[in-house]
Amino acid sequence: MTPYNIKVLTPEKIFYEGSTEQIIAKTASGNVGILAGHSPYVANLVASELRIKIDGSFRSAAVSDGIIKVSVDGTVTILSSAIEWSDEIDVARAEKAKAYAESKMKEHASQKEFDLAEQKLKRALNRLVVAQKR
Amino acid sequence: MAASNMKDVKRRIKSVESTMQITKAMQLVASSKMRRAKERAEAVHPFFESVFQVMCDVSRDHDFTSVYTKKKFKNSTLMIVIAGDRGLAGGFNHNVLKMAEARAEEIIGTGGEIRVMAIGKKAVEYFEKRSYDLTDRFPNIAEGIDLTDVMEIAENIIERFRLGDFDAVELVYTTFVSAMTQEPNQLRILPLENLDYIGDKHPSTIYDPSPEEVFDGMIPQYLCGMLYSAIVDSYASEQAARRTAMESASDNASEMIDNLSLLYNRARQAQITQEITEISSASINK
Repeated sequence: MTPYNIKVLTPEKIFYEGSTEQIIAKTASGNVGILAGHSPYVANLVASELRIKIDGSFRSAAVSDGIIKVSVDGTVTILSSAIEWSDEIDVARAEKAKAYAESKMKEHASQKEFDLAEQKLKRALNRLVVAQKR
Repeated sequence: MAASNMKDVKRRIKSVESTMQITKAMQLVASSKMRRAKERAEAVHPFFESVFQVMCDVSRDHDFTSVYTKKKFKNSTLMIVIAGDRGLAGGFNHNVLKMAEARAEEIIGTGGEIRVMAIGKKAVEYFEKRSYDLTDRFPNIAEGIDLTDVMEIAENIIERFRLGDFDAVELVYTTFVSAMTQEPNQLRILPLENLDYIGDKHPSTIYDPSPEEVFDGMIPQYLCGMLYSAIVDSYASEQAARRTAMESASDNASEMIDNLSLLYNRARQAQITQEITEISSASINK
């Protein structure tokens, strides 16, 4: 497969910059696979597993909400506030975040707090799921 | 000068010396923290620029409406004020807090409502003492800043913005110009205006599922990036301000030590001269 350039950015650092042969990401409307020469495309990512094919094999990363963009020149940019390779996920921390979010949801607080806790829970669960795929 | 007075001078020199040791140490700590904070502040740029670019692309390629670009109707503002967690940083905290208060008064003066979100212990303390509606307090988050915390703050703001709790969000923080200058700065982050329309249209770009949803879905990233960069920027400024303040404190201390040493040496010499005079006059009188 033809490789193309990809840039994965977080506010803290450039998470990954290099070439890839294929990306599989999950957007609000389902999984998308992106190969070289994709037409310009922008979508929101949901908390999910992001798979990047580097040198013939896929690497997994847990991504929280973000954006994926295929520019006119064919390079792909992924922007996310939090992204971790599956083998770098701190499972203990994810478990803690999950327990905290669950207890928050059981408190029958306001709708606003419930929604925030639910998002937090989604992210924690996603990290746990991806961590198992290492 | 009598012997007791000399002892006093000696003690003062000692005390100034130990103060100087502390200010010197703080200066060194602040300058190394500043360097790291500056690197972090610079690392945000690629992320933020990309987010902003995509938002501009969306608004250039399509006519659309979003709750985040609507003009305000209620005139109720959330003001996010970022100050330091500690003092001893020269005018750093004072400058940014004064600017925030002036801006708050300006909004109230035009009949607006104001809510304050204080980030940093000094901002919390300042607004607690005054009669503003302080709705959120985030002390001590700047030093070991964690992105998930910032994301939560961003989501909280968005949730309340959507519910109509306020219809504008403004940010007051200090921006790092150079190691010597840091300037308080204010800017509006919501509703979004002045999105750049520069560049070519690319109507063929696919927005999945729709331009509106893509745009709205990007707002958390935008806000998170904005807040994170402002907090890191402000933290770098705080360290730079502290470094400068401690540098001049150390300079003052060393000047004081010089003056006191001169005083001490003069007194010592005067005492010796007097003793010699006494001895010689005693031998003459023999």
